[in-house]
Amino acid sequence: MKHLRLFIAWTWIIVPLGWGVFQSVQKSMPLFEAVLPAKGK
Amino acid sequence: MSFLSREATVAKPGFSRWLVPPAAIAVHMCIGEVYGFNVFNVPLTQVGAGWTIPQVGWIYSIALFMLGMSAAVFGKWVERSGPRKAMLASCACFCGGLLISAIGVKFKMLWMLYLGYGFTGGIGLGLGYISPVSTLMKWFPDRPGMATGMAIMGFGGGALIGAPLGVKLMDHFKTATSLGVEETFIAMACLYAVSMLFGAFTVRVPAEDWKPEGWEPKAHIKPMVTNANVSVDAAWRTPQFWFLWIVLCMNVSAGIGILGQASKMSQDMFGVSVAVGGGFAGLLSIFNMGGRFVWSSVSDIVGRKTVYCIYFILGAALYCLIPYTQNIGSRTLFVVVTAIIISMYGGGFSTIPAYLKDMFGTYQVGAIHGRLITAWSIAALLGPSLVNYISTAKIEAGVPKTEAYNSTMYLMAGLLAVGLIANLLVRPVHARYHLKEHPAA
Repeated sequence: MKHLRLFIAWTWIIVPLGWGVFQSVQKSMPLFEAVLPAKGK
Repeated sequence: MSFLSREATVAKPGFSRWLVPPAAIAVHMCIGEVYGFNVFNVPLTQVGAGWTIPQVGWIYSIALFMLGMSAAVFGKWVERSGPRKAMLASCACFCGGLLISAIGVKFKMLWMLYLGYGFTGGIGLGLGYISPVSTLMKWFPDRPGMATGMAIMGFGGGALIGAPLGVKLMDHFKTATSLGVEETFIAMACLYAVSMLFGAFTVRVPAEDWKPEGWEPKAHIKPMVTNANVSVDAAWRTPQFWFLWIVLCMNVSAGIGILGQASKMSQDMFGVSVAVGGGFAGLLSIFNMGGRFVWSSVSDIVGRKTVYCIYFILGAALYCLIPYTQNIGSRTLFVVVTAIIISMYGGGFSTIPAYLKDMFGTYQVGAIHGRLITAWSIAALLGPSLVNYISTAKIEAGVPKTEAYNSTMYLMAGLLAVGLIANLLVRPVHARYHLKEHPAA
């Protein structure tokens, strides 16, 4: 029961935070696309 | 209403302390939405009320101002009432503020947005920000930096969630006649209320004699860590409080100056597109969030004073390196340097509660933290204004856009040098400020 509560509590915050990080990574893609070719020059 | 009292939240034997960080993060990731509020600026100017961007911008400014003020004013009440009542009050104010704002949009009354999201919501921000701080440090006396770092990381994460959530909800509710702003405010109020209530009902305070299994407090640990307690009213009068106020203010001023202008700065310095500039700002937000957890956890190992010395010395060196990255045209180095700077900016926020605990004890550390947050309010005005003012003045004086930020970077390094001096002046608090008896929490 204790472990189930821990699992639910951490899932409760990890899911939205993970979604937020994913959204930011997606938003950052144009930066990586701009930086990586520049690195190869 | 006894279930709201501090006594009703005392944990029963067998309660896992690892349930407290998610409770704190659940609140912080909601109120952190304030950082993403700018996604509503343009839609609010298009609701047909004739509002302008500067007028709408005041909503955010009032909210941040109220965050600092309410944290300072209600800090003692938060300590007295316990985290559950404070989190519920925060939830009522923050979500209520969103609902009032929805009514303001519906009836096109801007003052209701100032009152709703700005004033009322801002009080919710302050209450929510400080409510779990002392509780977490009492649950994690062995790792206070890591514990508060997790909660304050949630605040950084709130911005990552709030901005895209706002955009997606507006897209969802948009019709031919409406931009969906008021529906979005209502939906966000409901979603955030659920998360904040989860936090309020999950949080517990430890019993008076509780300590982590196998952990014994050392009789006298380190010279910079006290076993005594100082009340908030006494702490306010110590030089240490004001040195730490300067430490926070300088660290935040320097970091926020970059964070607020990141997109524009990258476009001006490297000529990248608006999309790439936005991507750069998004990446910095991730480092801002991660730095809050990583650096404050590091401070548990190396000490608070040392970690702030790292922020200031390494930070100043990296600021001085930024003009060089522009000179050699290295976008990669620029991104790496600014990401490290922003991670330390986040770290500065999350390490300060543990630094306060080391100086003043756990008795009223939440309230002391609340008063110190006024430094954030000042820094929020100082940092972006400095970057904006100096870079604009340079461009008007004929300096090429690519080089207009160079002197600002040296100025930011100077601010960090001031912070370093204040940090080096921090000494243990004199015994005359200590409380004579060990107080009940």
